[in-house]
Amino acid sequence: MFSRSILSRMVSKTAARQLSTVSGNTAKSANNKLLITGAALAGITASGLLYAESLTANAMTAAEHGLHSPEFDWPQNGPFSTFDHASIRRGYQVYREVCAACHSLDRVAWRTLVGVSHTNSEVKEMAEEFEYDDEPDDNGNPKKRPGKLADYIPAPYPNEQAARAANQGALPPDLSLIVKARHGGSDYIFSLLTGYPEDAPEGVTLPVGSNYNPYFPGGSIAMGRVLFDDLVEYEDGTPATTSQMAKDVSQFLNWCSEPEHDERKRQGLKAIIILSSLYLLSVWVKKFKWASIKTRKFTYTPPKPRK
Amino acid sequence: MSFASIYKVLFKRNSIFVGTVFVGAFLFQTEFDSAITKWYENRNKGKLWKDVKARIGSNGAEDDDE
Amino acid sequence: MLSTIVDYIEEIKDQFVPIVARAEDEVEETNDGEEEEDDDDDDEDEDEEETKDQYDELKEECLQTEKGKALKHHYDECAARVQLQKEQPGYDDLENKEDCVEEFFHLQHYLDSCAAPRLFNKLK
Repeated sequence: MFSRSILSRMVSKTAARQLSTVSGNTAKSANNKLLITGAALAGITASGLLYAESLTANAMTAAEHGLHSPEFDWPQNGPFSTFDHASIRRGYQVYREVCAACHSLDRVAWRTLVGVSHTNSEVKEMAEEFEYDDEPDDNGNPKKRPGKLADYIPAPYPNEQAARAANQGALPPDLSLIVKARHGGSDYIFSLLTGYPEDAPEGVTLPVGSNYNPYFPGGSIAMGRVLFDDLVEYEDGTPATTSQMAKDVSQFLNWCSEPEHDERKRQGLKAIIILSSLYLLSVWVKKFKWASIKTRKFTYTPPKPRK
Repeated sequence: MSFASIYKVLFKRNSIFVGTVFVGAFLFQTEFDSAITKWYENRNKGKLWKDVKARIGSNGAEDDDE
Repeated sequence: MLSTIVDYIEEIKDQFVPIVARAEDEVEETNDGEEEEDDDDDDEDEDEEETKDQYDELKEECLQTEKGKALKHHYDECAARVQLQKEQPGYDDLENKEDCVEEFFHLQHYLDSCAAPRLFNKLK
C-alpha cells in the first residue's frame, strides 16, 4: 500500500517519465512470465518422460533378487548341535543317484566319507566302482585302475566345455562348497530343490531350455526339477518324498562344505569354557593384587612448626 | 592346617611342584575332554555316526573308523 | 516414448472409468475358483495312491488359511488380468508387459513362512 501511494505521487508529478517506466515494467514482467512458463513446461515434460521411462525399467525387482528362502529346523542348528549322520548317508545316496549325473564334487575325497556316513569297506567298494588313471605300463601305454580311498570323487564331465556342451551351455556348478557359496546356505539349497512350481507365474517369459524357480535370482534356471517322490529307495526305509530327499541332500552338501563342523563345535565348547574361566581367574587375580594398593591410605603429618 | 600340609607335600620342592603342574595339566585335559565329549555326544544322541553305524548293522563291524 | 505416455494415461483412465472388462474379470475369477478345486481333487487322489510330500501337504494347509486365501486371490486376479492382456491384439509388441511375479512371491513367501517351521518335524 505504501509503495503504491508513493507511485501515485510520482505519477502526478512527472507524467512523461512515469509513462516510460510503466512500459519498461510491462516488458520485463512479460519476459519473466515467458521464462517461468518455459521452465515449468520443460520441468513437467522432463518429469513426464522420466516417469514414462520408469514404467518400463526392470531393475531392482523382486524377481531379480530371487525369493528369500525360509529358515528350516536343521539338525545342526544351534551352537552345540551336530549334523544328522543318518541324513548325510541318505544324502550321499541322493547325490550319487540324482545329482552326480551333472554335478561334480571335486574337493571331496572318498576317505573323508569313512566314519562320517559310511564304513571303511563300504567306501572302498564305492571307490572301486570308478576307474582312475594309473601309471603307464612299461611300453608307455596309459593304464586305468580302480579307485582307492585316497582318490577324489570323480566328476561327471572331463572339463567345463564338456559340461557346458552337455547342458545347452549351462555349467552345473561344483557342489563341494555350494552350501557356503550361496546366500541362505542349506535353506537356499532346500528351497531351490523343492521350490519348482508347476507353472511359472502368469506373464513370465522364460528363455528356451530354462525352468522357473522363484528362489533362483532372476527366476530362470537351467536345471529342471530333479527330485520327485520315490525317486530313490532308501536302505533304511525312510519314505523318499521330495522334501525328505531335498533335506538329506542339503545335509550331505552342508557336510561337504563344512566337514569339520561337528568337531569344530565340540572344540568351540571346550574353548569357551576354558577361556571364560581363565578370564574370570584373571579378573580375580587382578582384584587380589590390587586390593592392597586400592585400600592404601596416605596420611601426611606436617612437622610441628618450631617456635 | 591343611594348606600347610599341601605346601609341605607339593610346593616345597620345586621338582615336585613342576611335576604336579605337569601331571595336573595332563589329567585335567583328558578328564575335561572326555567330560565335554560325553555331554556333547549325549546331547546329539541319535544323530552321530556311531548311532548310524549301530543301525546299519554288522556290515562293517571289523572296520576301523579312522 | 509418447506411446507409453499415452498408454499410461489410458491405464489411469481405465482404473477410474468402469468398463465392460469388469464383468469379464468376475467371470474369469469364478472360472479360476473352479479350476482350483479341480486341482485339489487331483491331489487328494494322488494322496490315496502313494506317499505324499510333506512340504506340499503343509503348503496346501497354509493355502486354506485366511491370509493364504487372500494372497491366492490376489495372484489369481493378476493372472486373470494378464491373461486378458495376452488375448488382446498387439500384446507381443507391447513395450512393457505385466507379470505376476510379485503376487506369486507374496503368496509363496507366506506359504514358506507358514509351512517351513513345522516341516522338519515331519521329516526324518
